[in-house]
Amino acid sequence: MAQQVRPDEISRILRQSLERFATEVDVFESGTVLQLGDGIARVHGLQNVMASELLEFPGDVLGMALNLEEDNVGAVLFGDSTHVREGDTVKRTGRIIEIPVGDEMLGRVVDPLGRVIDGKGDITTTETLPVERKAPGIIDRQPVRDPMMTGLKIVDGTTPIGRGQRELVIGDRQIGKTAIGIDAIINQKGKDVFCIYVAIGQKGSTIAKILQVLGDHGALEYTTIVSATASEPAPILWIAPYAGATLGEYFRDSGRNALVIYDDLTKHAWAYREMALNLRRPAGREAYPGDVFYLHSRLLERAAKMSDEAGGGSLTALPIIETQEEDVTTYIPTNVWSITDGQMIMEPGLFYAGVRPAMNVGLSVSRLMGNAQSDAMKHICGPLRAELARFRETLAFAQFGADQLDASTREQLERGERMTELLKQDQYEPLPQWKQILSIYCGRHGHCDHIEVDDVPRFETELHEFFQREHAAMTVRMDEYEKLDDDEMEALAAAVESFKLSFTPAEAAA
Amino acid sequence: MRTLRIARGYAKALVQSADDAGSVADVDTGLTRLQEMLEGSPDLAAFFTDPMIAPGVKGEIVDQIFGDDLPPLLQSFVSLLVEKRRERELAPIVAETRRLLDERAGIETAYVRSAIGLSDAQTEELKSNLERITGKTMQIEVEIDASVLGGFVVRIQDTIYDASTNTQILRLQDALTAAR
Repeated sequence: MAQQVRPDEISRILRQSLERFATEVDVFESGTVLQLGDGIARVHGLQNVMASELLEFPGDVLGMALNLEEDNVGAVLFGDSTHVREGDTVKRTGRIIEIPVGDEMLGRVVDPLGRVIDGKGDITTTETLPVERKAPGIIDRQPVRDPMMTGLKIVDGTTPIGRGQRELVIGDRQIGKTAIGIDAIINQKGKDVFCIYVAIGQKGSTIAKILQVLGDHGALEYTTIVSATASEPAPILWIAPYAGATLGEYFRDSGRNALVIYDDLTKHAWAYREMALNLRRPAGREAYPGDVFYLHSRLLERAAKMSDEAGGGSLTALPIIETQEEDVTTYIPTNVWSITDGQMIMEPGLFYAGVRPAMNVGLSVSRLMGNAQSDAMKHICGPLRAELARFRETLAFAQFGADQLDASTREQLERGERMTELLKQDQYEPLPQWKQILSIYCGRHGHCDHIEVDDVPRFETELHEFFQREHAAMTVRMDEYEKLDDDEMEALAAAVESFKLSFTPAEAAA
Repeated sequence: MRTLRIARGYAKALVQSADDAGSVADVDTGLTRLQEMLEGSPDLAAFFTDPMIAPGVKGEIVDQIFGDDLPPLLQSFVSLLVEKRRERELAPIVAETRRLLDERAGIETAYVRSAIGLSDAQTEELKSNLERITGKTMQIEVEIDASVLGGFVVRIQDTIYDASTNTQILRLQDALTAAR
């Protein structure tokens, strides 16, 4: 039913608006567009403009002053440049680019300028923070000490991530880089870690899917998605990760924990290269401008574990880099590699062989290692990484002639195979610490050695179910940070033994 | 862009030497005279920009034209430009020097756009108000622009004081159509 149109109502509203309307002189500083092209405007005037100040172009298009030259200003446009013409007036705003921050941003999808794009209505926050902020200094920091578990056995067991760490995820397209980030977000449920997922230059459909997955797993309520899709102009892509970092810093600086995922910084560097070339900045290696290292180092420095005096909050960063043909020695990957506190290397070979997550344990590193693991995990995992590395080495040798191997080598191979099987994990199913401890414990202590490799996944599932059913108290204990003492280890061993008696191997069942 | 950079250098040098010689006032009046001559005579402007005339010949002619009209400093300045083959840039250099001299004297030009011509009293009132705001001596240049509709728009360097009816109407439109 159409609503009844009431003229008196309309005129009343109009009258109210008119009464509130005050005539005043508009004072602003201006410039004139000299030249426009490739999303870049050269502006004459704007004598007092600040570097990275927001500019207002006609048609509600915002811009940012980047090159301050003797007689003109080079500005990038954050919107559709077809509205802007040569000779148009450009206004100074006196503001540096900023984004609204706060708990209200959680569960929402915004663009890098803080504009809502999920159609769920406006966000009213009380606070805004500049998008480009300086990283905290030495005094305000402390070494990383708390684990930030991803819920992935292979990551938490061999390359653990701590709160405040920067860990690079690197690999070719379509082999599960984003999946690690999404699983890490899902695993933060109920752990008081707020998540920001920054999508840079991705397909709109990919972001829609991620939004749905996060919603389905109840992860959206503590997550903000900053979306700069491939259809946005390069400057929008360029500021996206900084905007995401600012959202995370709000939590970090209020003594809470945040995790931000930059997906991915390769496209970010491309966007910056495009801008820099159009601004006529000198091109360097691979045509990137000279400050492309600073581009990423200043972003990743903003991840930090704050000192207790500064609130003790943290911002963890998981930058993602996409390589071509597994070549990690190109410019941007090596840059980000050297900035971060470790890297997870994803390999197509492993991925297509069914080892998922397809992380190469030998090459992947977390420079914080034990500091980023709970004592319980540290105790159980021990030298898991070294063991797996030895297994891979022996495996490479064994391919020359498996029948001539001695017994101990054969045992090592069989255990390694089962361990690899145990470390496989389905997508969107992050595991709590107690389940990880159980699986890794059984693998390392040879509790699976007697069962067929194909049977290992079923063994693991039933093991978890058994403990949940029979030893609920022990699972609670295994979720805590403290190391399991000798008595508890004995109890664990006994419980696993009793499970093994009840487990029916495949041949017996058949 | 390049012209502006050249003009700045020469203009600054001229003002400084005038300052050193204590003849700023002379140069100021001479500059006004030169500007009038350039604007008044297209032939003179064409003479300066003509690349076919040899520098030596140009120098002699310059001496003949400006011999008595300009103060010695300004005359030798024009000769220097000819010698350095920068005489084509004379007009921008003169304009830039004018700007520098005005800046030294605290004089600022306000470009006013108005829908109708301003009466002397109105101009005077606008002038004194702008002088109060900026703290500088104002020169007012009025341009009639019907698109302003009513009120006026003042531009002083990059700063714009917009008190036009046109802008008020646009703002009213924004206020009425803004989402609540």
